[in-house]
Amino acid sequence: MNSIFDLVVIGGGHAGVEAVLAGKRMGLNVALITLDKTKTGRMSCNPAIGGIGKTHLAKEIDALGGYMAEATDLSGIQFRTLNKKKGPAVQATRAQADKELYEKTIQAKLKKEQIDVFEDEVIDFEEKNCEVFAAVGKNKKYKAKAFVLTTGTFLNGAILIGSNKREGGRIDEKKASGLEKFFDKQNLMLGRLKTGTPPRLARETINFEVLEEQPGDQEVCYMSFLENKNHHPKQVSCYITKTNKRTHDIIKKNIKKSAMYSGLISGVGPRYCPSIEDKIMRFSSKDSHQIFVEPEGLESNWVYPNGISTSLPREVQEEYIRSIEGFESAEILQQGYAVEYDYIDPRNLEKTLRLKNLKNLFLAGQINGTTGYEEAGAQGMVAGINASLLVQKKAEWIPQRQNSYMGVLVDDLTRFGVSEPYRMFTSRAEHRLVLRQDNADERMFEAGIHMGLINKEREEVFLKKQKEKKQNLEQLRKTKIKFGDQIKTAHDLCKRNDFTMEDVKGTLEKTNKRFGETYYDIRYSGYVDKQRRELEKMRNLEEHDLGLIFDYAEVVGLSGEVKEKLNKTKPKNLLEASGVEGITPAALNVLAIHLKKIDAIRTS
Amino acid sequence: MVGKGLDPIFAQGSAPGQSAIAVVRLSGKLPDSLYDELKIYEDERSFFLREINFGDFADSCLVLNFPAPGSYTGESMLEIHSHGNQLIVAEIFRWLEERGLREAEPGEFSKRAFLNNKISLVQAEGVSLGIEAETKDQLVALDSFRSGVLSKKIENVMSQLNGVLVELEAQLDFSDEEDVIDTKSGAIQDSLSCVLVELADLLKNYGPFEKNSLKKRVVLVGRPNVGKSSIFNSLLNEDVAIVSQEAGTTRDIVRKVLPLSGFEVEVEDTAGLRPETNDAIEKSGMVLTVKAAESADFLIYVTDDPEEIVPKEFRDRSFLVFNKCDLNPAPSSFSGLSVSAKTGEGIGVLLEKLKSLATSSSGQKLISERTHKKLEKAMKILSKEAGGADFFEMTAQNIRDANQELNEIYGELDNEKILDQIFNNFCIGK
Repeated sequence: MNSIFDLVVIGGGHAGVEAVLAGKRMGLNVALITLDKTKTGRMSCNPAIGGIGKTHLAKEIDALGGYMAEATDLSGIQFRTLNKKKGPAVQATRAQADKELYEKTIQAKLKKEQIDVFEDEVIDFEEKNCEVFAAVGKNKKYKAKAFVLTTGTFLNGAILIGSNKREGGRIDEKKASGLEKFFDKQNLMLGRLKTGTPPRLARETINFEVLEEQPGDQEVCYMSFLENKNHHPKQVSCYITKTNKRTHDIIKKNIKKSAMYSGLISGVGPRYCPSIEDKIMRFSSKDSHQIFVEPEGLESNWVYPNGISTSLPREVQEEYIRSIEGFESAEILQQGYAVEYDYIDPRNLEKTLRLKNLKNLFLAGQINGTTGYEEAGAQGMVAGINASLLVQKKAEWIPQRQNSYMGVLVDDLTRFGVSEPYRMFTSRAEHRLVLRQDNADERMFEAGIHMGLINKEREEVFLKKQKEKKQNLEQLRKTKIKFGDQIKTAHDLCKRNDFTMEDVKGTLEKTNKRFGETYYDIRYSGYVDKQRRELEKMRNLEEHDLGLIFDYAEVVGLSGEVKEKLNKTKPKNLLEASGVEGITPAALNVLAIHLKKIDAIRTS
Repeated sequence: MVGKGLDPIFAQGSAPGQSAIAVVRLSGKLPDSLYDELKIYEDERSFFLREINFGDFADSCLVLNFPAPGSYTGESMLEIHSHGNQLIVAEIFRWLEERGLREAEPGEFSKRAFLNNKISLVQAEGVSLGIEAETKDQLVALDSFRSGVLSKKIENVMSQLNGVLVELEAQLDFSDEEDVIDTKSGAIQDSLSCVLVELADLLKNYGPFEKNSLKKRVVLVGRPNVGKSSIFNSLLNEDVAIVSQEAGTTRDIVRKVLPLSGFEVEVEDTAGLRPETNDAIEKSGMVLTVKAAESADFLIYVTDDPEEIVPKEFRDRSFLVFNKCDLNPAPSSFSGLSVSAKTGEGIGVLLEKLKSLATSSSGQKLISERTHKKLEKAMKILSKEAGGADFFEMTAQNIRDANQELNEIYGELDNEKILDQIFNNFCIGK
């Protein structure tokens, strides 16, 4: 029997979950296909959500009515604000999650939303005239108007430990196969990436007494804008230990046995998340590396030693683990491993994350060369929303670099492709100062409401916050302060460096908990203007129609490479041209001048 | 047959005034009838002697034909070489207007050359800067901009800025990493100050290229009645300043531009300086003299006493001139130049001297106003005081903004490069 849906999402990870929930919120008849129902929403690597840059994505997902942040609040066992002293735009709420609780929360949500979840392995797509009409599962066919594919590490996945290589997407799980043949037919470039995990340790075998304790923040913080609606479970501490000379000696002695160094791995791993082998070999002058000892859950006895991912054989893992303080008699519950998988060069995608040469197939998550739960969730959101808009025959939605990290993410991916698993950093955002974690709701609200992603409850929470900020603003405007022989308002003081936020706050009669946000709205308002100008510039670019240029070889001043690229991509206007890889502002200028030339010649 | 290009235009290509020949250039879709009348085939690249009849009279002209696209503008072009009389040129203009041509806007020939890919924008800019350059150092500056001396200096500033940015970004994106040690805002501010010093140096050494602002100012100074005004008049070859036997005749500053074969120098005559006066007007005249002398590019110190010691505030920048050598010649030990404003002796030498002083380099190299503005803007952004609690992210933003300004002069900022450097410098990853 075949099933017919509006939207079918393949893959039940962080991307797939957000995509299918977005489709549901937009009123579509949706289905989720996954290899193993019980593993839907699984955190397959570290037990944490958020981080600098990543939290920004999680909050944007939340602001569009997504579920990642709420699930984090409901399963988070430690919350901390990072970068407290570096400014509000780079501050990030990071949460340790109870892994089991997290996936149970996600699964409960899917159930509550009555989403059809099928356990199946999709091995092919049926396609005609560049339009996919069915996903072919091993059990049955799933017909739909649009599809979102999220393969994670399962596309041609291989698990590597020491000299051992076997197929699989996660340890002890089978890989997904067959789709590579489909992509082959589509003439898409595939690449190979690698990531790794550390060995997991049994809690009862670790000597916590000798480890440095790292508690969460005293102040309760939330990932979701719904705040205290989702109560946190019991809060616990993390611990810190470090590698030592002996650890390093063991690893150096056995380095040839590592899958990473034996030539077994061809995929490129992330530089910001190197294996312990890499850390020791590349930074040989350092004689110690920190390890964050993170509990995987309240009930679980699994402990995640963050910072020592490896692909060394099991016996070496055991040896070096036990050389570390506190781990002297630690038992390994699951060995560390590297996983290699296929990804599709994201330059094959539109900014809606739809494959350029297929009308209704969207890709999200690691298949696009990214890493991280938040990066996956954000893409799931973009893909899910656009797939739904396509089904509804509505105009696409593309988040912009100027107002969201989601925009930075899809723009970076589709323009530049990836050379290593892509992770979000705040330094990737040119408009960082206006893209704060606390104003993600404001940045996404209009789009969210417009597309029907935001329910009444969220809207009310949002409007209440806006009201509170407005009250602060009024207070700031009406509070007058004598300043030498001048009268200034408290509002004026927000931009001055000789007054701290606390100083300004002290001048007001009454404030509410949104004061900090109001203060920084004013303090950074100059950057908002700059952002607006940039958006206007983009609209200008859009107005420059490139349809009149038939052959870029005629354009004097462009390099041969750029000419070739433009001839191949045939951008509609300057804005699209600006998105072509390798197009510099100088090249855009040349194009603009060329258009003027054409114009001058035509009108004469 | 008809010419190729935009609407037909003409302009005089030679300098106006009397000369042996005058050149009028034509470009664009030149009318059929014009070629017919001149009995020239549009495609025939050659020159022709033609008697052009202007109605009341005719002139024998040389007509050069440059078929498109092998011409300066890339359009069909003709050049009419007539006798160099402005009246004949005016007749040619009228004659052309009657045939549907219009006089070109300034720069229109170059613009068409650019539109037809005959020259690039940079070349066009270079051409106009080159034509407008008034002094030798302007040409040298143009050269230093093109040769990349400046780009290296700017690149150096940018790479230093990027160094600070790498440090900052590591603090922002990787503060939870063990290898990134907390940096104090003071240390960042210190490294930034070093870059600011370099940028300030750059601004000091490279001035904006502005027409006129670079005209050198020469001020005549000296005691009263030594003949400053007489020399002034001789230099200009006209009686501009009032001259009399009476000491202190000149009260105000008299200015006049002196053209020196292609270069211009502004010469200023001033009130003579003497301590022993009670005349209020003369006194205020002397104040003006001191002010003018202070801001002058160089001074001509005039004396009629070979023994006189030049006051030390003028000594360094003064060229010493001994006047009235017709009355009593200067002793051979005199180090300056002997002239006589009355007989004109030595004035030619003085003019040569002025020319060499006017065209000598001021030490300050020149860059286009646009480039200078970008440098200034970068400097301004970086000088902004950053806040307290938000020092790090604000400073990072300022550096990015400043870099963007500098980038618009040469090159492009790349986030990926910043990250690359972070990964090369720190061991990141828990």
